[in-house]
Amino acid sequence: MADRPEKSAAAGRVWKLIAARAPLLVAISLVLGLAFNAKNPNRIPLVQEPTELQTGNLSPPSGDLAEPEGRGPRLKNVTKSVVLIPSKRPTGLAEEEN
Amino acid sequence: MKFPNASTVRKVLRILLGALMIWAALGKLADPQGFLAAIYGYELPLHETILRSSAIALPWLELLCGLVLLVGFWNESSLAILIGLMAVFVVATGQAWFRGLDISCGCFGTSLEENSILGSVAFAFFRNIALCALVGYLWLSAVKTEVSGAVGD
Repeated sequence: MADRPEKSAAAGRVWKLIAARAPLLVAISLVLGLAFNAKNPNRIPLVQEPTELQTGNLSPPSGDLAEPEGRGPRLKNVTKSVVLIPSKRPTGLAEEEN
Repeated sequence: MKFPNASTVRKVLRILLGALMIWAALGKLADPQGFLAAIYGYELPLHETILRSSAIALPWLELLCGLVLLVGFWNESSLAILIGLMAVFVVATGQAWFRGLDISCGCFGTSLEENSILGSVAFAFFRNIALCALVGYLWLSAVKTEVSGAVGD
């Protein structure tokens, strides 16, 4: 019974030690991780790197689809054409088969 | 035959746990991108930066805690961190198992036991619970020893 205040004081000291050392260990590992990651060729970027579409660094298209003003590709020399598809078999073919 | 006392058993368990942590850390450090992909596989509702920071710092934290446990230095602090880590791992693997995600746990890097039962999240969930209990036991013992030493029992 007499050593109860001593024990609680000691427990408090242990808790304080844990509270001081644990964040220190976390901080050290974070620094080591960032340093290793910076030198590693297979590294992980902290923020997602923007894609080519997001940066607008797409290479310009070549050939007939090229658009020098950079407003995006536009089809050129395209003519409208209509293809008629017969819905029924031609009557001549049916007569020949018979 | 003389059985080893509790203190010796705890020491052996602490060293084994430290070696396990170092092994897990080295597996992750060997393939950081693979570990990040494994973290993404859990589909956790966390911000991108948090996931990436975890992939960068977590293997080093495991390595540091493992080394500290092997050396026997700052035991109670490293065990306190490992309790938190194990709790996070239990939640992560548990939710993946509950949702039926078909992923490998990525606990020991991506190359190990990728398609076997040992790499499944269900196995990892129960293994992490067991490890959490072990770490908790070792931590309580370490704190008790520290307090007893300070009082002078």
